[in-house]
Amino acid sequence: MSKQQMEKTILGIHSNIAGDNEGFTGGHAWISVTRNGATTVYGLWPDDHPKTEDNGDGTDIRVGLEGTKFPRASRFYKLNMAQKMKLEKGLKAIVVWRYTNTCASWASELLDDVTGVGIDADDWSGFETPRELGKHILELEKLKGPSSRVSPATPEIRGTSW
Amino acid sequence: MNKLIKTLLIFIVFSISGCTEGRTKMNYKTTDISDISYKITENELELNYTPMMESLYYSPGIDLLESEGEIIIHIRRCSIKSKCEVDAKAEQGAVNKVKFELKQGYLASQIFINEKDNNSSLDILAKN
Repeated sequence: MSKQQMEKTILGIHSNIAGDNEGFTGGHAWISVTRNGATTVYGLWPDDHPKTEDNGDGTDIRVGLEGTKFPRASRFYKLNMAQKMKLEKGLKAIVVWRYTNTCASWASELLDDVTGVGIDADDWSGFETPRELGKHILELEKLKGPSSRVSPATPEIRGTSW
Repeated sequence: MNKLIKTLLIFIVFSISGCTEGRTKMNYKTTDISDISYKITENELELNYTPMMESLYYSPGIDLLESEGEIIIHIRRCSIKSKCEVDAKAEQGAVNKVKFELKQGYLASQIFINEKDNNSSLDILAKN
């Protein structure tokens, strides 16, 4: 790995399902952050999920649960210094999982806050779902060209996305 | 959309889906399961598997049908709000681990996941 690659911070957004044929309440969406070549995953999980620890009023942003399994839809962005700082601040925030603030809401909104890229996750009734987020990630990958950790996209200007 | 209306709609959607789930047991599809491995002894099978990660569902364990020298395993999928009874409960970790007693000795080729066909036997699906 080159020195330039080592110093990069790459933000990835992921969903393990995509499209209307998937279940309305199924799947999961999350983000990954690759810092100096090492990747960490972050997702928003409810306290009462058997895979999580109930931490009461603590943040529902959980680290490392997703691994690299089933990333049906992924898009990656290279961050500049200001964006890196916004991201680190966002990851330290206390965020609570609710039906109106799901894993898909959080991943989509964090990406928007950090990069200005809006990838829509709004499904029927305004509930934000992994299937809708996954669908729009795949559409963006097709329209703007594929991205990867090695070859991330540069954040598009707000309003040209979804 | 008005936040109150949105919350109300979501409440209705989840109330309906909660009722539906109470009546039907769901399975994870084979393609939604990874890292399958097993250990078979004369009277016990230990099965390890990782279901697709889902923030509103999980796998509480497995149900199994043992007949005519074969076993069909169903990897159950349940809402985190539901109480799901299963034949063998899974330890919830990075990988789900289930142990259950066998009535007789089996080969991995005689144990199937979800359905009995050539591509669904444990020896084909497992990584070990």
